Amino acid sequence: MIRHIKPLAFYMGLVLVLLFFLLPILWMIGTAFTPSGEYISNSLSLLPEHPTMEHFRALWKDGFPERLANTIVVAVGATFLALVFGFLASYALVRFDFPRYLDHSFLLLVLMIKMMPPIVVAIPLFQLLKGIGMLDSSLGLILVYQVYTLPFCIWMLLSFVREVPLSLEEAACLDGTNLPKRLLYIVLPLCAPGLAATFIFTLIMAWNEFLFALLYLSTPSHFTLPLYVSNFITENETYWGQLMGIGLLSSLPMLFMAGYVQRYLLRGFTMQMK
Amino acid sequence: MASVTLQNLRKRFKNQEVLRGIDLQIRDGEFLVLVGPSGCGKSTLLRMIAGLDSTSEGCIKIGERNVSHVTPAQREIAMVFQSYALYPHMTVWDNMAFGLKMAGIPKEEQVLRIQQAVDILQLHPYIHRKPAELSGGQRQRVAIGRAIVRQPEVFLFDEPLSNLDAKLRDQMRVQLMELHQRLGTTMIYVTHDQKEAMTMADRIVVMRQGVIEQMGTPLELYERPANRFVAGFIGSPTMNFVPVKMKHQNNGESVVTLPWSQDIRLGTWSASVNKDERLELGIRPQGVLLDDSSPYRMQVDVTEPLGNMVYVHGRINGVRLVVETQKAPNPGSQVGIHLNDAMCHLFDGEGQCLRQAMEHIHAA
Ligand SMILES: Nc1ncnc2c1ncn2[C@@H]1O[C@H](COP(=O)(O)OP(=O)(O)O)[C@@H](O)[C@H]1O
Ligand SMILES: [Mg+2]
Repeated sequence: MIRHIKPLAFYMGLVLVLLFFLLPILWMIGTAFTPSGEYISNSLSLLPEHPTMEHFRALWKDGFPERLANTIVVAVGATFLALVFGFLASYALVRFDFPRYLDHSFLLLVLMIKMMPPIVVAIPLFQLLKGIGMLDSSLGLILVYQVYTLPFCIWMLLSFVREVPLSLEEAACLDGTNLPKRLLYIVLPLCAPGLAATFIFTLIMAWNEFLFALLYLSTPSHFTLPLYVSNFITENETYWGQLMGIGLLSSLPMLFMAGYVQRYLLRGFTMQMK
Repeated sequence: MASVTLQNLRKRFKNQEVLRGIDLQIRDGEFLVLVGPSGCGKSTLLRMIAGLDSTSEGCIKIGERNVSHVTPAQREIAMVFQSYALYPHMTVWDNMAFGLKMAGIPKEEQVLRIQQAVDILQLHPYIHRKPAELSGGQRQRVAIGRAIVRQPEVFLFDEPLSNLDAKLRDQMRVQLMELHQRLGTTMIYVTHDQKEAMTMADRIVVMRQGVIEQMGTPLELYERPANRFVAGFIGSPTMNFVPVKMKHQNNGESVVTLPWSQDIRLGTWSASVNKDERLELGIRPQGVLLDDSSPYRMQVDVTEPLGNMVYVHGRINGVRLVVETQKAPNPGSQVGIHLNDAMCHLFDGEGQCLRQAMEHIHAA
C-alpha cells in the first residue's frame, strides 16, 4: 500500500521543487514581454496585461546579435581549448609514470588555482594580455578564461580517463596504434560521456563569466552578453524589460545545448564501460 | 610462424626482482604452456614477449630477429587478454578490423580475413553487436578472432579461459587445440591450472617465483618431476608426500622408514644421503593400494566418488593420504594400505628429486 502512496507524494514534492526553481524563470520571461510602464506599476504580476516585443526590437537594433556572436566565440573557444588541453593533461596524469608526489602536487596546484578568487590574478593577466597585444579581444579573453576552465576540465576528466581500462590501450598497442591514434580511436570515444558533461559545464561557466570580461574588454562592440547586460542598469533607470530580454535570449542557447548534450550523456552511460 | 628465444631474461619492478633469469627456446609451431602459482611472473613474462613490459636484462628473439627493443606492433604477435580487452564502443566486426585498418591492409583483404575468422569461430550472428551484448564465451571467441585476423607469427594467451564457467572452459579448451592444429602457429599459453597445461601443451614450463622449475612434455613432468614443487603442482589429485628417514644405504641399495615404521626398498641411486636428512617420499594416489591383509591401517576420513573410481582421503600416523581405488570404504573405518615401492619418488631436504618412480599409471 505504501508503494501506491509513495509515487503520489513523490510527484507532489517534485512539483513543489520545480515551481520553486521555475518561478524566477517565469518571472523573467513575463517581464521580458511586459511594456515598460507596466512592470513598475503592477509590481507583482507574472503575466503581462499587454504583451509586447518592444524590448526585443530595441535589443536587436542596439547590437544584441553582435554581442551574442562575441559570447559564442569566446565561450565555445575557451571551452574547446580547455577540453583539448584538459583531456591531454588528465591522460598524462593518469597514464604516464611520473613520480607520485609530482602528480599530487600538480593536482593540488591546479586545485588551488581553481579555488583562488580570480581577482587575485587580474593585474598580472592584464599585463600579460597587454604585452601580447590581446587586450580587448576575443582571443585574449579565451586565453584568460583558461584560469577557470582548465583546472575544472582537468579535474573532471581525470576520473573519466582513469575508468578506461589499461588493457584496452594495450590491446590497441598490439593492434599497431601509436599514442595519438590510441587517444583518438580508443580513449576519446570511451571518455565521450565525460567529455560531454565537462563540455556543458565549462561552456556555462565561460558563457556567464563577467569579471574578466569587464576588466579586459573596453570597446562596446567587443562585449560579451554578461557585460552587455550591465549596460541596462544605469544611474537613472534600470531597464528591466531589456535586462530580462537578454536574460531570456542568452539562456536559450545554453538550454538547447544542455538538452542536446543530455541525450548524448544518457546514451553514453548506457553504452557501458566494461 | 616463428620460434621464440628467451635469453637470461630478467625483470625488476622497483627493487623487486620478478623474473630471475629465464632461458627458454620455444620451437616453431609449438603449443607451449607456462604454468605456475599466482604471482610467479607468468603474465609478466608474456607481457615482455608482447612488448608491453620492458625487459630489465636479457634478450627476446622472435625467429632470428632480436625484438627486445621493438614496439609491440612490430613484433608480429597477437595477444588474448584474460579480460578479453574488447573495444566496447566497436562492433564485433570493427573490433576485428581495427588492427587490420591500423596496419593499412587493403579493404578486400580485411573482409576476407575477418570472414574467415568469423567462420572458424562461428561468430556470424554477432558481428554487428557490441561486446556488452555478448556472453563471456562469445566475447572470448571475438578476442581470439581479433588475434587470428592479424595472422601473427606467435599467439600469446594470458589465462584466456579463467573467466568462463567449467563447462564452457572445457569446450573452449578443445576449440583452442583445434585452432592450433589448423593454424600451426606458435602459441604461448599462460595458466595457473595444471589441468589445462597437461591437456593442451606440447611442452609445459613450470615456473615458481620468477624462475623455471622444470620444462618438458606433460608426461615427462608427470612421471619425472625434477623436484617436490613440480611433483606437487602437476597431477590431480596432488601427489602424497610422506616424511621418511633413511634407514640404511649399502651396496647401492637404500631402505627408508615411513612414520608408521614400514620399510620401503628404493633400489639404487648414486647420490649418498645423510642419515638424519629430512627426506620426503612422494607417491601418487594410484600408487597406494588398499590391502586388507596389510598390518598398516589408515583411518578413512572422506571418500570422493567420481563414477569410475573413488578417491579415499585418510590419515595414518598423522600423515594425510589420498588413495585411488575402485570400491569406496566406509568413512570412519580402518583400511589396510600398501605402498607400491616402484611408484615412489624420493625428495631431499631441498626438495630435489633423488629417485624417480620406475613405474607409472598414466593419468591426466
Ligand atoms: N606493474 C607492476 N609493478 C610492480 N609489481 C608488479 C607489476 N606487475 C606485476 N608485479 C608483480 O610481479 C609479480 C608477478 O606478477 P604476474 O606476472 O602478474 O604473476 P602471475 O601472472 O604469474 O600471477 C607479482 O608479485 C606482482 O605483484
Ligand atoms: Mg597473471
